[in-house]
Amino acid sequence: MIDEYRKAFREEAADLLADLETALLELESDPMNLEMLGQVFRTMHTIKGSGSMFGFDDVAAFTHELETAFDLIRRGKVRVNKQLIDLTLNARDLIRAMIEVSFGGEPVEEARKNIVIEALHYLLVQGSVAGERQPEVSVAPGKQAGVLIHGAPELPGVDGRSEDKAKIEAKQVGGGLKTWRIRFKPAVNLFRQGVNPVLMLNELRELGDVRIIAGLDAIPELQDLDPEGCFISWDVLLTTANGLQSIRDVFIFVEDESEIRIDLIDEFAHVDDEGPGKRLGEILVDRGDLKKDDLAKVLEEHKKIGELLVESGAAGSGQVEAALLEQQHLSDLRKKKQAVEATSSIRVTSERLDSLVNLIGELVTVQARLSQTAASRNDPELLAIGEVVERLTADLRDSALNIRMMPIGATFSKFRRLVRDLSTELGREIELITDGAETELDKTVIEKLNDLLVHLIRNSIDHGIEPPEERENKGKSRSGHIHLSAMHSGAQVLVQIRDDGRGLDREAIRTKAIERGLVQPNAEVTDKELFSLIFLPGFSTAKKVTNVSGRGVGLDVVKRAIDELRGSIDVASQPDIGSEITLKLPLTLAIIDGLLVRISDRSYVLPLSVVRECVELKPEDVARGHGKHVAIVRGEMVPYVRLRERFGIGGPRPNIEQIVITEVEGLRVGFVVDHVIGEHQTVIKTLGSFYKDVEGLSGATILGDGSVALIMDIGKLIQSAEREEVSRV
Amino acid sequence: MKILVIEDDFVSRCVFIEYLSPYGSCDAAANGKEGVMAFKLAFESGKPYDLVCLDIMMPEMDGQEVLKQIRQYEEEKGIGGLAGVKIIMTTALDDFKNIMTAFRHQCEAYLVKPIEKAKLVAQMKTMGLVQG
Repeated sequence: MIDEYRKAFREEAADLLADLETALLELESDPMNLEMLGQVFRTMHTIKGSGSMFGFDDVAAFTHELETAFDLIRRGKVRVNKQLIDLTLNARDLIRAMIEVSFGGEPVEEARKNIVIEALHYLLVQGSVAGERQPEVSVAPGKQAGVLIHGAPELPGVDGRSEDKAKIEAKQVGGGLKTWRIRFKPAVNLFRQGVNPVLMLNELRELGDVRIIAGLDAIPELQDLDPEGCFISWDVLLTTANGLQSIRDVFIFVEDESEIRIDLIDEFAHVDDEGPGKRLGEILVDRGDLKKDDLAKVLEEHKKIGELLVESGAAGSGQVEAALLEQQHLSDLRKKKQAVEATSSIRVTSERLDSLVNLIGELVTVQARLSQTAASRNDPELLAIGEVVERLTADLRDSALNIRMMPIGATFSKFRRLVRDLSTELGREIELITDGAETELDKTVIEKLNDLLVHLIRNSIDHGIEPPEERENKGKSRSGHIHLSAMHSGAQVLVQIRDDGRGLDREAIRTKAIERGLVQPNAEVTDKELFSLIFLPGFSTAKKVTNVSGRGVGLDVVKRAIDELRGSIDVASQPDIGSEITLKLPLTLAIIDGLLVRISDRSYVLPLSVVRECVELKPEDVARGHGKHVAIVRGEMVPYVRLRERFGIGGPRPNIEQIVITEVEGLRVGFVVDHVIGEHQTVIKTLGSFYKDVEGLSGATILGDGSVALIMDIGKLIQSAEREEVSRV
Repeated sequence: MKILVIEDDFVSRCVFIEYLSPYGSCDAAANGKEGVMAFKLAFESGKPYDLVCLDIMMPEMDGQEVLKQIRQYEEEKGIGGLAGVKIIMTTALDDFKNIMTAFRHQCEAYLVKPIEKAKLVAQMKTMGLVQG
């Protein structure tokens, strides 16, 4: 039992430590961020308490030191600086190591812990805020072993409630997000005073998340309109961390003559978890735009309340619209909050998930058989059952696959540490920008992706980003940027690593390629072809081998791993502007939409994602090709591959064959088969290690009748067909 | 030292009060809602509690929610870090999820019922509430 708990704690701690790392890095870039500081403290507190609970007493004792230190920082007694973050990151790694000891990790030497603790102490004294050197921050060896900072009269303990004013003030400045409703009704002569209200609205926009709606109800009829008067009023919803004063400041020059009302309508920190958002009517009453009685009267009828209010004249259409917007704004905030909270969830080992998906795979197969049998029996009752089972299986499959989907964000945040450590090691200044952290991918894909991205980012840092001085000489910003982004694109996910470094050295790659006989010295090679060479084994243009790269291992591994994931990789680069590596990955590895085709008595599946169309191939079309395997489809020449020949299948050909036209990387190639059967969603089974080197097949699937269909790897088939064509010429 | 016991079971409540009375003045609340109220009242009157013993399975509001609300209240009042009230969860629930949730919500310690006096006092010593 307790072992189970310790195992669970190990995973939980991994999460907590990851959070801690993210928070620390965040804090490094923004040392005054009180929210982050609180986060760091709380995470430490959780690690300490739960560590002690599950018998990790060394972890608890060590974390206690950190916690004490960060409490001082929280209270503004000590400032955050880079060394402190360095040290804390170091301490974080030590905690991890200490937990791992129980699971077969290397023992952690006492000396290492002591060094960290002593250094921490030193920094606390050094970093204590000038002018108020607290006597309590002394490195006196205490009575209580392990507790280093004490002897403070006002240290929290029994009566530690004398909170500093400084902190409370700081909290007001940096406090949580609040939503304000600002009603700005300028005086009619606003324009004559030379004030442009748009500028003020723009100022509000800079304060935070803003929604603005103009109230047009007061605009008179055209004949009565004074073109120099301002009849528009604005309702603004502002969600901001700034206080009331900064909002008032915006209106400082107009507040005397204009009508300005600023109300706090929602404190983001306390958005109710449950319960629907405020009703439109309530909001209007709240805002004083509508009387309660009017609302009740109107509610007696059954129509959309917004329309009703406008019709009855109880509230102007502009006011209703503004209130609707407010409703939307608040419910959006709630959704955001819920999204944040949704991450707390049940933990399941991935094996269980895998076996679930496998079982569902089998179920899908059996269900297909059931449907087929039902169809052949022509028994309406059985057919009906079959249909229900089919629908349920599809739902079940989708939700099982959904469970495996994880946002890529966790992986991204790991790289911040990597980039930070590597840039220190290599003397670079680098900023990592991430985008699309919420993009979801199959768990297996994410796990494999992690190592790949490490390789690629290392590569970018080592080869791409120049040292700061070199960058300055080139007229670039001192610090380089690495942009990591993920986004959905159909059934695929694009992961992009973009840097603004020196770009790939085209000439060096070319020279190397010629040297290795990959390219003829006078051949014209496109950038795309040339850049793809860097993924060949042993191909490195690095002049010297560093700790990080240059050994020629790496990129070929990346390429192979991407192939295994049924993805593709693209490189684009421009000298001194930077390079961009794009990985295209399938959303999931377990299931593909395929096109089922038949050659002789065998079935094959082509991934539907690459199939463009199917056309007939008649004997006269073949004759028109004059021995070349080219078909004319609507005036366009499409080369084709006869799969019957390719797979060495005997037997007579049907008179009219079918060409399935596919498109891979802009290249259209047809595949000739006997019959096209139709769409087929298949669960992929790997072929096993015996067949892993077979080119052109990516797996197999079991059909409804129990027979096996091979799944074709179109990209590979095209490549090998091209190679044969070249060698024939 | 001021102690608040939030516990719905009468017998447990009595046991706690008996255990804790030697160390300070003890108040008791019979459910979560009452507990949060008592905590806030004490805070507002300038005599906050130093220790809260908190059961999880309770009517009205469970202990996890009480814990969350107390910490949230403290945060609003600008109290955080080591300055907050010490909270010991005292419950029969010993599943990992409950334990971890409580620690994530910033409790100081978690004792599984039946509560032994020695363990309770040992925790109070570790927290520095009792000289030892």
